[in-house]
Amino acid sequence: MQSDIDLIKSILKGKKPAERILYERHRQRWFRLALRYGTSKLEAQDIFQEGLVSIFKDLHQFDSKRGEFVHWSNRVLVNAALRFLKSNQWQNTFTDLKVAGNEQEVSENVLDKIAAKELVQIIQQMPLGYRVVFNMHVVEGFSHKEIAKELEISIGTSKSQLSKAKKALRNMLEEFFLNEKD
Amino acid sequence: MADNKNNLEGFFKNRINDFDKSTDGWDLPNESVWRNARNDFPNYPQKKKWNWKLGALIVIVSTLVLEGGYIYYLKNELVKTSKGIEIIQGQRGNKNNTIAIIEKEVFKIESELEKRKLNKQNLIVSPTQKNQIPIGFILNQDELNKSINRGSASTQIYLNSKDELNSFSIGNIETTGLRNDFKIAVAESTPISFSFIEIENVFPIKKLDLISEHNVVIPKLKQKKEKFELEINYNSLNFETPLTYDFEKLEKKDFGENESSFPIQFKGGGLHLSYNIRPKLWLSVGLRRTIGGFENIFVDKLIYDKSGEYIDNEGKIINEFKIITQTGFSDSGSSIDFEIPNGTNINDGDLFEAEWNYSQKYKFTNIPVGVNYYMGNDELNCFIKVGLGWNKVSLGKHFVEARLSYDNEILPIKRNQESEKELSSQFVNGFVGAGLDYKLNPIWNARASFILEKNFIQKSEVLRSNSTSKVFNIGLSYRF
Repeated sequence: MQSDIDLIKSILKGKKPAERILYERHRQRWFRLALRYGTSKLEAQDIFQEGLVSIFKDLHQFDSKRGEFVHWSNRVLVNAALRFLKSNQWQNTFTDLKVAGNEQEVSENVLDKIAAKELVQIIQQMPLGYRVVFNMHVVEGFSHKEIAKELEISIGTSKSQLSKAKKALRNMLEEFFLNEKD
Repeated sequence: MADNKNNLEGFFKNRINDFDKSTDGWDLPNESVWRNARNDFPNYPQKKKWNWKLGALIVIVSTLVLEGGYIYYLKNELVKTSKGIEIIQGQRGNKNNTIAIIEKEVFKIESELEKRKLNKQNLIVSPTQKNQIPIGFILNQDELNKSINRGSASTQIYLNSKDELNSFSIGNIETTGLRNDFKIAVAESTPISFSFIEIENVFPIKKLDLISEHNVVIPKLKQKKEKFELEINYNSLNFETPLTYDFEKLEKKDFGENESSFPIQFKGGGLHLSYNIRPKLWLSVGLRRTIGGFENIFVDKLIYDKSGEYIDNEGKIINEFKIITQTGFSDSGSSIDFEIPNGTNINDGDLFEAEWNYSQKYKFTNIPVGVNYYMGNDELNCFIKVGLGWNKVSLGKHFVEARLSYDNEILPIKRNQESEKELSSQFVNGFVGAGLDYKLNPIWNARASFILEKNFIQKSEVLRSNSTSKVFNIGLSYRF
């Protein structure tokens, strides 16, 4: 099995088959990322396609000494997702929405039962601002400073969006399980 | 509260990246996304942008270095020419002046030789007409005095060692028995005097032409002959190898029977050692080491065979697919186990798509023995070469990667076991080639050649090849 770096070298030498191999290896991870930023599979496919083109266009800029390909490609995909969202749905994204409910805890019992698929569906239902900040901070590991810079908002707004996103998520999780019981 | 916060964040991160539990393809994109995106991919390798600043710097530095070197060369030539003129001027004057000047010049030359760490024994200045006393330093002076008989038609001058015998006739200004590596220039004037100088090192022959009005005779000399040559070169080798695929359960039954050829390019370096056996004819033996290979992607449809199905430990339905590829160098086999996802119903005889990437790299060692025949002048020669070579090809890095699908549903690969036949093919080839050789200086030559090699690969039950490979090489050679 060729490593990612070997495959990238092959691609940069013009060997087309290596593109497909690299794609096959990472497409599930990349697509899950796109799913989290979109609101549906259809929208995720648009984000994914744009990100995929960006990854292969910028492949010559990847430097293995500065980090793993996984992290680099995730970053490229996040940027592609933000570009897509900014061009389509960015109006009033970070205006505060009232979130019902308190800071209630989510029982571990509930968490154990939920699968990645349901989790992604719940994230997709969140308002865009919450969704983007939550994904960037909690899943991708961006700091609030980095998020503020990328989204052109203040650090305070980033923190407040995250806090509200988590509240909303808790509510949605509880709701999800109430529906499941019914 | 804090625990619950960390719990929630950690839970999300872990669960979202939990890839094992994906079964129904909810987190896989449609195939059309790949097809659309692929159209926008750039074509690698991209052309490198020329760095104009670096190029300009190289040109400037090269110009300065060359200009400096040329000025230094001109200065040296001027000094040497002046010395030649001074010697002749000295010879034109009266005897005393001549002696004085020549002594002075000899001293200069001696110093020059010492500076250059040359052998003093190679520098001789002949006696004057009057007293037959040698001018300047003469090794084994007594011996020389005894030997010289002015006016004789066959005066001989000996060096201090009988092993280094050199002789010439003053009357005819002829030399005989010169050592191969000892080059002498003879200058004659009135009063007659002779100077023997290592012309290659002190007096270029061309500069002695300046004093031809003084009846300078340059004896016919035997050129110093280099007997050995060491060449280092870069080789690019194109090879055509037969390529045959033999698939089990292939839709097109005749596919595997068609043998096609596939180009392989090898690149690498080599060394050659040559020995001069006759004028213009060199015997050569070498070593060439190159690496090459090929990679390709193939798409075809296969007939599903249900008899290969089995249930694995996790209760999943698995089937097996085999690929055997034959090249002129090796057989390559790969056995792939793939999963039939839940809900996918493939029946016996159904067609499913297979796309696989196949790559082999080879290490190619060649030991040629042959002769080179040179034609041309001192500077530029063309040459032809013929000979035989012993070759060994061995398998290096290799892989087979497959992607299978049925009705647009990916059939996940569970196991890909390669069974490359260990390879160490040896065969003989005959070669014939031609090239150009340019003399950069007395010891270094640059050359380029094109060679055709006819490979006699041993036949086996399946494989047969008499491929011709085309070799291009450029190199530098050192003669000694």
